Amino acid sequence: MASVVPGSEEVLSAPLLWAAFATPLASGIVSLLAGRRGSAGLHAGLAVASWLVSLILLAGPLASVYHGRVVVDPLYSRVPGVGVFSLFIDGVSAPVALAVVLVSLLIAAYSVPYMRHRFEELGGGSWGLYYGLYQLFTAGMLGAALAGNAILFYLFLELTLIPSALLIILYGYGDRVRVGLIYLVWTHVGALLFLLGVFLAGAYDFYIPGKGYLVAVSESLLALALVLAGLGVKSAYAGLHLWLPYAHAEAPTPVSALLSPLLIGLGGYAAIRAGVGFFHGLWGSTWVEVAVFLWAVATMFYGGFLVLVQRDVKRLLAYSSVSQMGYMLLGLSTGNVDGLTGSVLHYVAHAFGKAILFGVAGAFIALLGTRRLEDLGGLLASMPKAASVALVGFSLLAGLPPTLGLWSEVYLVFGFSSWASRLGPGVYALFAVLVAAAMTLTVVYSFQAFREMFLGPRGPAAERLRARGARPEETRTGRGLITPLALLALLGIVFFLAVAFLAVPASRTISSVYAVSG
Amino acid sequence: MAGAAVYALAAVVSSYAAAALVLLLGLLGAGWRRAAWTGVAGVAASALFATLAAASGWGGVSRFSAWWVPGFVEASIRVDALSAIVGLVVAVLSFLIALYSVEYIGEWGAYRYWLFYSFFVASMLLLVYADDLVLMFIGWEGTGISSWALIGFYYDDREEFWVGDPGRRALGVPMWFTPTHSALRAISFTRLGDMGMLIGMGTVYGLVGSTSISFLETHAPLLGMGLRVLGVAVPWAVLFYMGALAKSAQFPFHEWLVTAMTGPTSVSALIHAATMVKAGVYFALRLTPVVAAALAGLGVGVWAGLGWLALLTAFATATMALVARELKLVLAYSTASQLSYMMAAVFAAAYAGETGAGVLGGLAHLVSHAVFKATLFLVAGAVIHAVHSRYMDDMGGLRRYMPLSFLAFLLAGLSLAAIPPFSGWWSKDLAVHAIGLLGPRAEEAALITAVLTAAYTARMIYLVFLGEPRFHGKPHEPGPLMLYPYLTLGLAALGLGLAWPWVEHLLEAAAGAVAEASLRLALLGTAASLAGFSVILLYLRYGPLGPRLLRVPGMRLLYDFLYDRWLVNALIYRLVVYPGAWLARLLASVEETLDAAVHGGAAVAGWGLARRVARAEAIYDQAIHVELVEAGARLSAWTRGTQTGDIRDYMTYFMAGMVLAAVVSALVIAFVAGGW
Repeated sequence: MASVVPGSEEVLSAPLLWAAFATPLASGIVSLLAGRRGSAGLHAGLAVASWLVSLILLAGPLASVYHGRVVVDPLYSRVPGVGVFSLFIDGVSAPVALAVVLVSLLIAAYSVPYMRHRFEELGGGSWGLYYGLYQLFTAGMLGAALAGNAILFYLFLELTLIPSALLIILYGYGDRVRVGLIYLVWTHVGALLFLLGVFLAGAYDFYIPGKGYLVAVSESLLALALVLAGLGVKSAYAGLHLWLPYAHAEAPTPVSALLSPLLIGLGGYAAIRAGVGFFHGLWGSTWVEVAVFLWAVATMFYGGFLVLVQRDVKRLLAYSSVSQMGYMLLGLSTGNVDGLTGSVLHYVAHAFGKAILFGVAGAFIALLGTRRLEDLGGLLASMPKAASVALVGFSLLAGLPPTLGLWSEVYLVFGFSSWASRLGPGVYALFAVLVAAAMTLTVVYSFQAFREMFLGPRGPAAERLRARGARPEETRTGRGLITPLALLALLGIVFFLAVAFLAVPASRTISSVYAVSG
Repeated sequence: MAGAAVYALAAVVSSYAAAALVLLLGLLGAGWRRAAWTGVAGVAASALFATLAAASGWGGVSRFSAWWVPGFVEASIRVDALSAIVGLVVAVLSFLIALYSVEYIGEWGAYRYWLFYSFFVASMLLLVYADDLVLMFIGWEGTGISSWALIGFYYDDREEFWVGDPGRRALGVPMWFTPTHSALRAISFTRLGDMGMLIGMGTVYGLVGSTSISFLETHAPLLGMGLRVLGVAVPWAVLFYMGALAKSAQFPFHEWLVTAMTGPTSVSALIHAATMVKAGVYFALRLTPVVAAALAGLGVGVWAGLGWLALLTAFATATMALVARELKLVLAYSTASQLSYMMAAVFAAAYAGETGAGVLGGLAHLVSHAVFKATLFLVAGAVIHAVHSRYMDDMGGLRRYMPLSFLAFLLAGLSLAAIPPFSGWWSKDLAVHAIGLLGPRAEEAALITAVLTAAYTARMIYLVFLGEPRFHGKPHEPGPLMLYPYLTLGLAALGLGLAWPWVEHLLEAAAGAVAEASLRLALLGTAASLAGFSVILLYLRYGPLGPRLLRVPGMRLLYDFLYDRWLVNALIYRLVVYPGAWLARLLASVEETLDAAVHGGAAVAGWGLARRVARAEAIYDQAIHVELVEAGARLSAWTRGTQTGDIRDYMTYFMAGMVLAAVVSALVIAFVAGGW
C-alpha cells in the first residue's frame, strides 16, 4: 500500500542542517548557564548572531532546494521500529524553515526593549533565562520544520513546548500560571493525539534518505482523524482553539509573535506531510476534502467574527490567528498543487504579518501602557511608523499588494477554484460564496481594527501623547521596537516580488509528491 | 514591436518608483513640497511613457513578457489599441490632477497623499496594460488599497468632510458617513467582488492552464468546453464579473462609491470618477469578447441579467442625483449612472452577439466621461473650497465670482448632459445604440435615464453658478495650478466633441467594430437631453422651488425615498451589517460558554476530582505516615514494656513461644500430611 516517491536527493557533505538547528540551541544553553550574568545586549547579540549563522548555514541547502533538489543531512540513523531519524529540507519545508529563522532572528532583537519594559514591570528578571528559553523554543521549531520523521517531528515539537510554557508562566500577563498550564495541557494532548494517529498509521518517515518520500501509508480513517485532531489542536482549528486566545494574548508579546504565527502554523505544515502525504488515498476522496473544507471555512468565519468583538488588541490578534489557520486548512482541503502551495506560502505571509502585528501591540503596551482598543484611536499622527508597519502586517493577512499575502491568497483561491468547480454548479456557487465572504471578513476585521487603532478622532492615549508633545517612536525603546518590525515588513514586500523563490520549489515538490489531483 | 510595451512598462514603473521615493522622503523628513513634486514628476513620466506607448505602438500589438513565477504567472505587458487609449487617458488625467493636487492638498498629509496617489497611478496602469489575469489582479488590488487610503485621507474624521446629513436616519440606520467609515465600506464592498473575480480567474486557470489574456483570447473555445463539461458556466460568469460590478459601482455595490466622496476632491476626480471605477468597465471591455466566445449560447441569460442590472443602476442613481443637496454627491451618483451606461452597452451587445458594438460604445463613453467628469469634480473641489460648504444650498450665482471655473463646469456639464456637439453626446449615442441591442425596452430605459441625466446636470449647474448667491464672503478663482488643469480638461471635453469623427476612428480600431449611425437614435437622444435640460432650468428659474412641490401628497415620501438612496444602504445595514455584528456577538457568547465549560466546567470538575483524590490521599497519608508510624511506636513501647529484666518473665515468654511453635508445627504437619 505504502509507496515511495523518489526525490532528486542531495546528501550534504557536512551536517549543515543539524548545525543550523544546533547553533541557536547552543546559544540558548550558553544563555541559560550564564543566567543573570551578562547584559541584555550580550544575550540578544548572541541569539541574533546564532540565527544569522543558522541562516548562512541554510543558504546553500536553500539554493539547492530552489534548483529542485531534496537536501538531506548526512547525520541520520535508523531507529528500530520508528523509521529513520533524519533532517532534510525540500520545497515544502524550505519556506517554513526560512520563516522560522527570519522571524526568530528579528524578534530576538525586538525582545530587548520589550523585555526591558516587562522586567521593569515585574521588578526584575534574568536575561540569560529569557534568551535561553527563547532559543530552545525557537530552535525546536526549526528542528520540527526540518524533521524527516514524524516521531522526530514530535520530539522537536515537545522541545518547543516546555520553554514556551515557561516563558508564559514566568513573564506573561494576567493569570499567567493558569494560562501557561492551559497551554501546556492542550497542546501536549494535541501532540499526543498526533502521535497516536501516527502509530495507528504505522509509518513514520516523511522522507527516507536514499529512497524518497513515504506516502499513502494508511487508509485508516481513525488514524487520519487522530492526526488531524492532534494537529488541529496545535493549529487551533475551530472547536479545538479554546486554549489559543489565552496563550497568545497573555504570553509576553515577543513570545506571542512567535507562538501565534510560527508554532501553530507548524500544525498546518505537518498536516501536509502526515495528513495529505500519509493518507494520500483517503485525501483524494471528495468526502474527506469536503469535510476538511467545511472545517476550514468554519475556522475562518469563527475566528474572523470573534475578532470583530474583541476589545483587547492581543486577544483580537489571537482570534485572527485562528482565522488565518483556516486559510492554511483551506489550501489543504483542496489537495491540489495550487491549494497546498498556497498553504505553505500563507505560513510565511502569516508569519511575517502576525509577528509585525503582535510587535505593534507590544509597542502599544511598552510605549503607551495600554492594549485596550478603547484607549487607542487617532494614533496615526503620533505613531506614523507603527501605523505603516501595521498596515503592511494587515495587508499580509488580508492578501493585499505589495505583500506576499497577495500571492498566498491567489494560490489558495486558485486551488480552491479548480477543486470546487468539479463539484457541480450548485456546490461550486455555494462554496465560492462562502470562501469569498470568509476572505472578505478578513479585510473587514483588519481594516476595522486598523481604524480603531490609528484612525478616527484621537483616543485617550493619543490625547496624552499630544498633551505631552511626545513622539514615542523616536525614543530609544520606540526605535528598538519598530526597527525589527520594519524589517519584517520589508521582508513581506521583498517576498512579494521574489515569490518565485518560495513558490516554485514548493509547487514542484507538492506536484510530484503530495497533490492528490492536478 | 516590443518597444511600445517597454514604454508601457516604464509608465508603470515610474509611478511605483515615485511611490517608493515619496516613502523614503517621508522617512528622511524631507519637506512636503519635495514629496509633492516627486509624485508629480513620477506621474509626468508615466504620462510621457504612456503617450510614447500609444504613439509608437499604434496599429499593432506589442508585448513584453518575463516570468514572475515561472510556470504560473508572467509579468506581461500588452499595448494594443484598447490598452493604449485607456492607458493614455489614465496617465494624462493623473498628471493634470496631480498638478491640481499640489495646491489643493498642500502640506497636511502630503506624504501619505503622494505615496498612495503614485501607487494608485502605477497600479491602475498595471491593470490596464497587464496581459495576465493575476497581474491585472495585482494592479486591481493596488488601486483598491490606494482608494481606501485616500477615501479616508482625512483620517481624523473632521466633520467638513463627512458625506450625508448628520442626524438623518433611514429605517433607523444613520445616513451620514465619516471618512474612515467610508474607507472601510469601500474596501469591504469592493473586496467581496474581487474575491468572486479571483475565484472566477482561478476557475479559468484550472480549465485552460494559463492566466495569460492573450492565450485566453485564442483559446476561448477551450474555456467554453471546460465550462460546459463541468456545467458551471452560469455561476462562473457571475463570479468572474463580480469584481467588475463592485469596482464599477453596479447595484447594490454602488453604495461604496457614493460615500467615497469623503476623500479629497482631487481623489474623487481621479479615482472615483475618471479611472479606478472604470476598471470594471475596462475589465468588461477587455474580456467580454473572450467570455462571450466561450459561453456562446450559454450566456444569453447572464448577459441579459447583467445588462438590466446596469440599466437599473443607471436609472436608480440618476433619480438619486435629482434630489441630492451635496455637490459631490450629485457627481458621485452621476458617475455610477454613467458607468452603468458603459456596462449596459457591453452586456447588451454581448447579449446580441455583437460584442464589438458594445466595446465601442463602452470605450467611447469611458473616454469622454473620464474627461468631463474629472473636470466637474475638480471645479467642484474649487467651489467647495471657495464657499466653505459642500451643500449646493450654500452656493448659487458663482458665475460672477468664478467665471473661468463656470466655463469649465459648463463645458463639461453640457457634455455630461449629452448636448451636441460635446463629446458626451457622441459617446452616449454609441452607448445607447449598443444598449438598444438588448431590446426596445432597454433603449427606452437608457433614453429615460438620459432625460434624468440632463435634468440633474442642469439643476446642478443652476444651483451652483446661476441664480442668486446664497453664500457668505467673497469667493474667488483658485490659483493657476488648480485652475488650468480643469480649464484644460473642460476645453478638452469640447475639443473631443469637435474632433469626434477622427477620435471615433481610433476607438473603432480599438473595439474592432464600426460605428453604425442611426439618425432616429441621434434625434431621440438629443431630444431627451434637451428636454431634460430645459425643463429643469425653466422649472428652477420660474417654477415653484422645492419646498412647495414637497407639499403635494406623496411627494415627500418619494423625495425621502430618493434622498435616502432607495433605502439600499439602510437595507444592506439591516440585512447584512447588523446581523453580522449580532452573529459576532452571538459567537462571542458561544465562545464564552465553551470556554467556561472547558476551562471552567471541566477544569472545575477536574479540581473537584483532584480535591477528592487529595482527601483520599490525606487519609492514606495519615494512615501510612501517621497511624502506621504511631502504631509502630506503640508496638515498640509495648515491646519495650515486656523487657522487664526479670528471668521468670523471660521463661514464661519462652514457654508460651514453645507452646505456640508446637501448636503451629502440629497444625502445619497435620495440614501437609493429612492433606485437608
